[in-house]
Amino acid sequence: MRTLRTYRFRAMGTDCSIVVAFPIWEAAAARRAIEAALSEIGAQERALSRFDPSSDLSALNAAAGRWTPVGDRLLRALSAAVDARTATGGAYDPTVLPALIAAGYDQSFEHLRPRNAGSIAGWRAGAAIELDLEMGRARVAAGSAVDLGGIGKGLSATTALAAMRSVSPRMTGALVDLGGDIAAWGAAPDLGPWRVAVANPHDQERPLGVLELYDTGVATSGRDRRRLGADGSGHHLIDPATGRPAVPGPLTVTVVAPSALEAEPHATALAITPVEQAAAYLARRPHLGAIVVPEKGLPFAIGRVPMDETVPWPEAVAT
Amino acid sequence: MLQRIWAGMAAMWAVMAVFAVLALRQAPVAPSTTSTATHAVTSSSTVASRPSSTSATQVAAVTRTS
Repeated sequence: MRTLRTYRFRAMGTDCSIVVAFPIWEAAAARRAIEAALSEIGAQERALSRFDPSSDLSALNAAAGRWTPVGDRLLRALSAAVDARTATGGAYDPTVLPALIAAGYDQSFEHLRPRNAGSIAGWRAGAAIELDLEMGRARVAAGSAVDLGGIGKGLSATTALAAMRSVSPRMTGALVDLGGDIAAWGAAPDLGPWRVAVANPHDQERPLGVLELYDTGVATSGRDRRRLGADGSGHHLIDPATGRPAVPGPLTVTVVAPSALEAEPHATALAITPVEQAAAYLARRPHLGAIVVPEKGLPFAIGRVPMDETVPWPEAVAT
Repeated sequence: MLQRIWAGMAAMWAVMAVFAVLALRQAPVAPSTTSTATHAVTSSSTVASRPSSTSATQVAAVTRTS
């Protein structure tokens, strides 16, 4: 007989949860797994938060243009972010931070005050991020700065899951949810897949559908929350091509990928990609799947999206 | 002889039941394990077989814009 333990908490400015499936006699191992995940998430947040002046990331940004000693966690996150910029064709760019601040996202969202957008004169996307793995140091181009808010959640969900598996090899499945960036491993207590609902931005009462996941990552990005600007008309999804909140793109997009780390930047990229180009984007990346919710019109699924087909959703069109 | 076997089995099952109850009553994780964990809640539920219903409410998590 297997059982389930769920632990809910706040971290990284969002609602999080850890779910563990384990044999009923392995409760202590499940507790160790949750503690390992919490420790890992806390360590990642302390390294990667741009809102914590003592973080490695804050030190790196403050020393833009100079080599700065950084820890392994930031090095790995920067490496992943650079890889993701390449994998998304530049649609995801970790160096949009100056543009993000100009748009009004200058402090943790809970403490944000509405204000008009600032200037982005002189800012360019694609700033250099150099890594020296042997010396444990990094350098971002002078005048630029890095934000790892999105990919940091995907990375942390992935590494927290790995930490759980490391300390508790006898658990039968686990799921880490950091504000919608989800890493799933193994099976649910019923030995079936982990079931993850996809929120419907048009109807909070009724999810779009239910994903069935085993060893998979999921991330959702969109402009339905985290509004910016004096009148709330802006949002936090910066288009690297313009340095301004993206105009084209769906209301939300959910990406299914082999890991949460990989799902997150592709969700961000698709969230600023015109809806009619989403299928072409995913055709070039056949290992991904996505659920796209346009501002107007019907949501649709593209590519590898393991849905529970017995749960009806709003006239989804598989393409 | 048969009665002794049955009594032995009954005792074994009783011991297993006690261990199962003790396992389920393990103390929840302390929120102090990380400085970022606040407003924490734990819950447990036992699932012996896959639910026959596939209601959208029977999910482990919800993915949404954070």
